[in-house]
Amino acid sequence: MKTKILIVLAVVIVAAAALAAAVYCALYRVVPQPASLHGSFYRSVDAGAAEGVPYWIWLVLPRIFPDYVPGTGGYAAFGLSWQETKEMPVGFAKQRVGYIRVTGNCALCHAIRHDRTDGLPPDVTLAYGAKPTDIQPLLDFYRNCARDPRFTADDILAEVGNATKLSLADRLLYRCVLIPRARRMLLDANSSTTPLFGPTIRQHIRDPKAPVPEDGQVRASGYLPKTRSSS
Amino acid sequence: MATEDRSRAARTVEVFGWVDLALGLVIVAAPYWAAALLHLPPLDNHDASNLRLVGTLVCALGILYIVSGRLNSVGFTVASLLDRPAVPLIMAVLWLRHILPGPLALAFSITDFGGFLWTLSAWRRDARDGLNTGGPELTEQTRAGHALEVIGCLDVVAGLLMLLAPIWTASLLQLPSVMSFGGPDYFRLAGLLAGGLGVLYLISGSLSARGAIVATLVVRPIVAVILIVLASRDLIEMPLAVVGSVAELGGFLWTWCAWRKDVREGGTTGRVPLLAQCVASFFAFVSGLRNARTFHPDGRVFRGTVRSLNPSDPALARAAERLTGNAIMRIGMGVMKKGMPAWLADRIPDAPSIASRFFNAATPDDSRLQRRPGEDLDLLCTAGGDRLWKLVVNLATGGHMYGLNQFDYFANRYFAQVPYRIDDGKADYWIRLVPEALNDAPRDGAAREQGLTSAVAAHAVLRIELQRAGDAGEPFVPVAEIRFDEEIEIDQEALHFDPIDGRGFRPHGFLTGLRKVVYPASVQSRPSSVPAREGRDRETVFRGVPRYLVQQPLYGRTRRWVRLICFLLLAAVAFSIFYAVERFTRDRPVDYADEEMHFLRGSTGGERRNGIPYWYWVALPEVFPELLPDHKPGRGYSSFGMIYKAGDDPRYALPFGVSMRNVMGIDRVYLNCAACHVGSVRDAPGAKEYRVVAGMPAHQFDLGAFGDFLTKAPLSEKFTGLRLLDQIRKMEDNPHRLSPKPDLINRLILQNVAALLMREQLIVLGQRLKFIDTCTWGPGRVDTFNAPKALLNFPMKYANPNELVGNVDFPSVWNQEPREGMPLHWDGNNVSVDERNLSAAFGTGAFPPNLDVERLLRMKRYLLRAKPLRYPYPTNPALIACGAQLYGEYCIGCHGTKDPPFSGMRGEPVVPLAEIGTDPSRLNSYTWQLAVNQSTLYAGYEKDWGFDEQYPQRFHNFRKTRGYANMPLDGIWLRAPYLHNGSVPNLWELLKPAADRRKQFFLGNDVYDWRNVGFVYDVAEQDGHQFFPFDTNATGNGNGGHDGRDFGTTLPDSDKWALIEYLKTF
Repeated sequence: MKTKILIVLAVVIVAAAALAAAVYCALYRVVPQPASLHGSFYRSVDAGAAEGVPYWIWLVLPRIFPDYVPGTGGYAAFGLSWQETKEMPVGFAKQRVGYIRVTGNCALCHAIRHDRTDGLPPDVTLAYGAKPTDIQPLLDFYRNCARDPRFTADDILAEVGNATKLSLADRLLYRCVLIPRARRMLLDANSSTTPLFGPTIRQHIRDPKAPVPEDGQVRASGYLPKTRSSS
Repeated sequence: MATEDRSRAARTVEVFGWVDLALGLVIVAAPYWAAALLHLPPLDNHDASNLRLVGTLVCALGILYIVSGRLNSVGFTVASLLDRPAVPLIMAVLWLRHILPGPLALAFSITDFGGFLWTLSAWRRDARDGLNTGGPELTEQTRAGHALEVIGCLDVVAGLLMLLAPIWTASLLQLPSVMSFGGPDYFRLAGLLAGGLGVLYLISGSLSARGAIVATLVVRPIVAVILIVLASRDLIEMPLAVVGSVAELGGFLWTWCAWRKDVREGGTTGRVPLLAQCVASFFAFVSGLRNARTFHPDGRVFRGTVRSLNPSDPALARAAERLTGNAIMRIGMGVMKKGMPAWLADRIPDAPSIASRFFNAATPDDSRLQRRPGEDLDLLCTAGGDRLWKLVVNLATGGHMYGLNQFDYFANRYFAQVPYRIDDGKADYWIRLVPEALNDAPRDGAAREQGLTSAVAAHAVLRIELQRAGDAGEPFVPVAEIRFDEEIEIDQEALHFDPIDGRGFRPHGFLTGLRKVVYPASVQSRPSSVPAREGRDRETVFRGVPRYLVQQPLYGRTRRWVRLICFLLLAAVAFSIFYAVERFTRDRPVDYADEEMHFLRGSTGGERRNGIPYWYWVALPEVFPELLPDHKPGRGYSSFGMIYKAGDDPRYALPFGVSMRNVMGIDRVYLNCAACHVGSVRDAPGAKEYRVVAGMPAHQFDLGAFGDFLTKAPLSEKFTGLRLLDQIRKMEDNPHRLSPKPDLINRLILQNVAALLMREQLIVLGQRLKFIDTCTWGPGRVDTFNAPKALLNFPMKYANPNELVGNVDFPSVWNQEPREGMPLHWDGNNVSVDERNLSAAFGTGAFPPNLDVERLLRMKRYLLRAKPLRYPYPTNPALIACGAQLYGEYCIGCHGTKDPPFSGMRGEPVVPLAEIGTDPSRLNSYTWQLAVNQSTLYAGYEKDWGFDEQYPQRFHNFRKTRGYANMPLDGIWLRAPYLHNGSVPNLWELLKPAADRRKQFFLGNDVYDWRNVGFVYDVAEQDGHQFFPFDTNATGNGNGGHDGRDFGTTLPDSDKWALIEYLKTF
């Protein structure tokens, strides 16, 4: 009898440990970005595991809701700079925190786009202190998407299915955790509460005049001066 | 579990196991090296994966042999002796049917058969030492043995499925469909090994071989681990690893639990092994059918007296004493029943037998109908061979061996065929009965019986002789004799002989164990007395069959009919589930052995997403002829300019550029790369023959009209499943069809579901592409980069109006290898051939999740080296030489040399628009917004797909350019019309100053104009086919540019003709 209890207990403990490990791997395991991104426009800044929009949601939102996009070109229509051959516009950072998510960094606002007349892609420069890029249209877009009845797991996963084949585990994760959570976070987010940024940047947006405090790993205050536009 | 002194046979088994393990490890770790060693054809990924599975199974066999041999398992040794000799035969069959290459078949045959011979000779030497006399014991089956036996059955079934129906099994396991054309099939070899493993399990489990059970407990986790490790490193296909490890672990758990239960509660369960049950059922069935014993149905019974012959050996003397007393003997033939016609009974090989009961008579006329257990001994002896297998072989070959005499009971020797232990002695003895010979030699059945009667009347004698088991040279020592007293009348159907222990004689061995199971079953199923038998003999089958079904079988808990119904239900359910899973997960493209044919008709995977059911494809032109360009049904899609092979029936055959794939049980078709890159050339108007050139721009194919057809048809009320099925029913029996008639399931799907789904998809597609006016395209043209904007769902109301028309001419796609690194697409927006291929594949419906990478790579390899057709019409060598010089002066700087590697190209590969001066619409249609969004395509695929260099599949080469790219002119004669938008019909026009070029002409004619080098452009209609009126004034159709001194338009005419003549040779 006692052995049976011990065995059952052992099985329960092992199962719980396995479950905990799985949850950690799926939602919390932060993998640092490769070193090549360190001085670039795509560096993950000031973002812990709780921030960001899951990558596949981020990718397909402009494709599902073109009615809220103010121009052609997906994210390029929001006045963001986008360097050719890069996976995402300037100011977005892709990182794995268990799942892959996208956050914004300082360059999202502080990179300025200079359109050209000859049809070639716009140039991008960094400017801080002066008038930053207005990201309010982007945030409005996310809010409109979250409020639309089409922001459901079925719709989003259907469009993701055109871009890639998610594994069963990923599909379950998106359906049960990531999509509902993203919807909640984007619903009422404005620039000072958006999940796109970490706490330091959000604080900075609330009070732009105050100096940007140092944060844990990547010092937001040191990011912009170190960024080279050619990366 | 202590290992006692091992038998020689067990040692050979262990050594064989080490050899197998070594071979298996080599195959798993280095399949390519092993294949090279055996001179096998080169392995691709699937072959290597299957070969690794084979290696894993060989390792499993090896470990099984090692552990069983170590543990001295008799049952396993016997199983291996039955399993291995079949290998050379099966290997021979597989080799003759080209499933396995010779060296591999030979290697397996030699190792397995050699091992068999070695173990067999060791077994025989062991037998001479007195070991395992009579074969392995067949005892009550342990729970673990039962588990092993059932798993063995399942393994055998699985192995047979893999061997006999590999494609179906592979589809069921969700393995990708493999392109192999007559090469060796290692998947089937793995099935054969799995079946062989199953046979070993089956026999070992039947014999409850403890050593084998422990061996399987060791092997299964190891195999599961090997499979998981291989799968995690991508060395074996995931479904194989998953199914294999789950099966192994499940089997391990079951066997482990059963083994633990055996240890706790003792090994005896009263259970009879399945194999023995099958044998028992068989004999019960035959006995029931015969209404008599299966063998020796009729006989004559005699009473006799037994007296000892006083042998000198004390053990034998004891045995003789035991036998002394009274006896009854039943003598009869083995096969024939009374009542058979004499001519038949005399022809069929038959062997007599003597069944005797030794007892001590209680009364003078005691004929001991009922055996008294322990007190009485029943002995069954048969003539024709001293072992059962010899008797079987003898009868099978006509009954002439081992001194068998069918017509004289007294000319035979009767052997007991099982060894006996006497009084707990150490030695085994073989028993035989030797009658005194008769004087006369009977020649037929009747004389035989007469001879027996007279012999009994003369009180003939049967000697009982014993031979010590071991050496075959040991003598048979007479120990006692039976004297025939008289024939008696006795109810023979109530007389049951049981060849088990009695009077100190203990039979043992495999046959004894089997008899203990089979005899009671036979007794239960046949009539229990002579009157009952006579009654049943008069019965019809309608009484017999129900009685058989209602009877409670001896080794089962439920009645036969219940078992039958349950089995049939279970089989039906299992079959339905497997069938449904395989059918609705099926994904089998049609493959072609020839590389060019694969390009022309092979699948890129588009059918998985966009596939049109073949039968809809066939029915649509018949149901919607008004939407076809020429409004005529019965010609398939030829009016769109799709090319059919000469002689094919266009209603049923697929044109070039359309591929077929079976997805979820329905054959579907869709476009492939060749739809836009295969063209036809006709030498004269109305010519019946035409050249089909792979890689050539599909200048005659109106993709726009085709797309229109597909998006308009669903809007009609005729687009219902019912209407389409009516049409299909009319056409489905035609012998030219490429897909079988729709079966019931497909009919239901096509009628009720498919049309609705297709309509929904096509309406959505039509809406998204609405901003593109396909009417402006014409044959041979497409708007390449406005379609991706639709797929990315850009809100085109915000688009710049000048980006909305980007119509271009289809390009040629041969000679791709020298083009790697050159700017590709008309505006040079991508330098990677692989990326360009993947991007273009979107047009065939191949989106990242459903792209068939393997088949696309095969097309790519073909295109790398594909060459254009050489100009077939006559040319002027003198002019060519002159033209070559002019080419070198004017053209080579931008277009390079005639042949690969197209050297000589100088300056900017993408010529700025201001310099080239051609129509800007295409350049403007490709916006920087589109370029950056294309960098998100194929994201998420980190694994290398085997493109030539390490390639993270995400697109990273699209850039916005400022002009149009220079291109080599290989096969230029086939690439008319010219300039990026196809606005110049032939080379002569191109060399005219832009202002002088034709403003209106016709597109879509495939008759060649060899003088001007292009297709005939001034004919509006031919053979009922209307050509497309092309107006260079329309947006995007401008024919200016490529004009001026540098472009040769100011040359004198003779120079221009020379240049054109030279260009013909490209």
